[in-house]
Amino acid sequence: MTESDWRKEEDAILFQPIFSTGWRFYATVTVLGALVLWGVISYIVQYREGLGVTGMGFPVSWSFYIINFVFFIGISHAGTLISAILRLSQAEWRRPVTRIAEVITVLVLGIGGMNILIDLGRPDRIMNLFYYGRYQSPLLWDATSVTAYLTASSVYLFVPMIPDIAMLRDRCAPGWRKFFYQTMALGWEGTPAQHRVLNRAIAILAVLVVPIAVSVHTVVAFVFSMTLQPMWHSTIFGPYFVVGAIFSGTATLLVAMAILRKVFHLEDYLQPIHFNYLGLLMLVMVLLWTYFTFAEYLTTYYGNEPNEMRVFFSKFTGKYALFFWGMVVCNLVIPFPILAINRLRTIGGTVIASVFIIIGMWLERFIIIVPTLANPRLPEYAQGSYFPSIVEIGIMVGCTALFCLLYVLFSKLFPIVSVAEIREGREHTEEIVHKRLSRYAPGLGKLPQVNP
Amino acid sequence: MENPGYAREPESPWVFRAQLATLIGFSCFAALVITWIGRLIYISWVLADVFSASIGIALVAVPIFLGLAIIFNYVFWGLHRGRQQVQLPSADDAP
Amino acid sequence: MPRWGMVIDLDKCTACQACVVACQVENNVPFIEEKEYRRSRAISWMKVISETEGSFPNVRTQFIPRPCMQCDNPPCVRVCPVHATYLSPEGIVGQIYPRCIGCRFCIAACPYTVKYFNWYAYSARVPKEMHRADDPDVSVRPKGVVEKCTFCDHRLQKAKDKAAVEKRTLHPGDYVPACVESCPSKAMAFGDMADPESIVSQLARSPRAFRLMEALGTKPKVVYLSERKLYD
Repeated sequence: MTESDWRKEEDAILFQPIFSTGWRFYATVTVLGALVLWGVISYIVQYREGLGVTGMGFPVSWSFYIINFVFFIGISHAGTLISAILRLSQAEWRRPVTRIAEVITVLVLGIGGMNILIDLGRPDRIMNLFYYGRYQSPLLWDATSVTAYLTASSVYLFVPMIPDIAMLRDRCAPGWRKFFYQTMALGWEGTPAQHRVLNRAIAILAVLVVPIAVSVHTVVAFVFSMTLQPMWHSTIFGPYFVVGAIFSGTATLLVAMAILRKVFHLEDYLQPIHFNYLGLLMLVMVLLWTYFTFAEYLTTYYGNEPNEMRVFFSKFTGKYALFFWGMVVCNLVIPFPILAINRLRTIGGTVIASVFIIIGMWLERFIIIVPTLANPRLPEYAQGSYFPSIVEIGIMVGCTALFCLLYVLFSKLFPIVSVAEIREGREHTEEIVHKRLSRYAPGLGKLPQVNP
Repeated sequence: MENPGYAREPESPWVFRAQLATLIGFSCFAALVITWIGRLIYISWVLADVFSASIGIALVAVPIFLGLAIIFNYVFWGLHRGRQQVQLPSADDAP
Repeated sequence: MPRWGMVIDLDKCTACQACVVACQVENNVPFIEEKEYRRSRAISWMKVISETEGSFPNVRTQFIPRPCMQCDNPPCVRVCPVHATYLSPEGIVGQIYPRCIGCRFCIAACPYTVKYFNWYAYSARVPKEMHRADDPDVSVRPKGVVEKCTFCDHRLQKAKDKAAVEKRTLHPGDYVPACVESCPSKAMAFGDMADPESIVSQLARSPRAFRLMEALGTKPKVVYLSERKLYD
């Protein structure tokens, strides 16, 4: 097969971003590159001057970077949920969506980890974590589990991609690119023995990745709940953060799907039904998130402990009321009707709900972190009023742009929709589903009789 | 499937070397992480500083990294062994 | 093995802040310019905080000098990822400045908010001539590390060295932090809490004695004496 042959194939549109590059690609990369450069320059300023260039002070000594760290790591649950759990439950509608989700996870974990490094006062001493680390500290739990999750999700992204890379290898013109694909395809030919190896590995990885993912956001929550600070020292934090992570991850996935569908003309592959199912999942997460938030705040309010109530009222009616109620509006008031009403749960509707949810979840991280720090138990002369500086905004924009840029580059090198999985589905889905149906109740799953 | 004869063009030997380098790199990374965890256990023992936490976390983390290295090796060598024995030459192959 | 503790008598304290100044001079605490002060970044290891009750004209204000509590169960030590803050065998919670990576977890974890961060290289920004007044026994902190009151443990080291040279054990009064030494109304006492006859142990047994936020279980070693209990 030569490079021109791919246009004649059934899934040609999935190969198109890889083999043909238009001006829009270069324009996107340039714009994103410029934003990333802004972020890099901001960080260089911060590295040379010190963390004083941020808006942080005393007692609000953690803010934007830690918020972004939690936020980005939270989004990483998109990949696990969709890919692993849907694969394990053999949901056939996952096929076009898995790779989009897995790439989000890998990239966002890297960027989240980077935010912690950005937050350090002495990043030049990062090796101290290796020489002198202490496993009693939740930050070390963080470091270990994020590394484990990053490694596991990279492997989990790569292994199902092998047949796709082999397809690219076979269609690519000779050159550096072909060498790259040949190397990464690990000699895939599609023999039955290789299929067995791959399927077994994917099945094991899918099972392995889920508990790692749950542990990651739980230990991120433990960074806060293991302290004694008012409204941080809460037993609900672990599950609360995991639910919030799945919530924001699904929203990001929906937005990514919508953008990719538009840009790469994937209307046949990302159908309204995918958005509908993910929208329903997100509806469940809206309710679950609301339940956890309600439980958390009611417990605090009913307990009426003075230190906690100061923090509580600073969120409800005080300095941070705008952020708190903004969070409620973005996470519950707007998405709930859109996702609950069938007629509104269209592609456009779910994307609008997702955008608000992404904003709302960022606000939720802010609301968790800053008010507690700003209201310490002992009266301090500065009751902590925090405002981000241009450096922090630059770095946040740079991180987001870096995520988008790496995503664009990934879609240039590898098919963003898993071609092999779709083709496998085309060949085997009917018989898998019919076999399954026949086990549900007697008489189900009979293939329709062909009239003679 | 899409490659009916499982035929594949021959590849330069550098491809296999590059693949092996990736595999070794990944395994080294996993070994490095496990070494790091081991060092942290050692420090916590020597400084009498919550040894139990280090052991507890190691009991979970080390099998994960070990498992990932094993899976990657399994996939690598499994795919390598599962190839057709005969690689058809790229040019004339009269049926 | 001694366990060093401090007793502060709030009914004798006049809130003159001599302790704050003495601490600043002794420990090379950097001067913070006004712009940074307005961004809430002033560092003061010893601080006099105030609590005001009631409304005019029935107002009552209590001034509380607040050093680091030197907890026996310190939340800051638990969360440090690199052993940069540690509990010494003699009960002093110390800081290892060259090891600190500036993650500020200890600042977030301390319920008494006694830890401070060098947002800029404050010591380097002080006019060069002022460095001639630096205490040579205390290191000057670079940017990006956390610092806090250490009960002037450099003075402990000097006292131990002096006792070793003179071939004797430490006497009470050999080692007192700068704040205790400077208090004009003799409101502060310092000594070995493990010795039941020391002045601090005796004062700590007084019915007026309480510790801040004792219910949190941090076991602070700074004992306050007052007719009224606060923040427990």
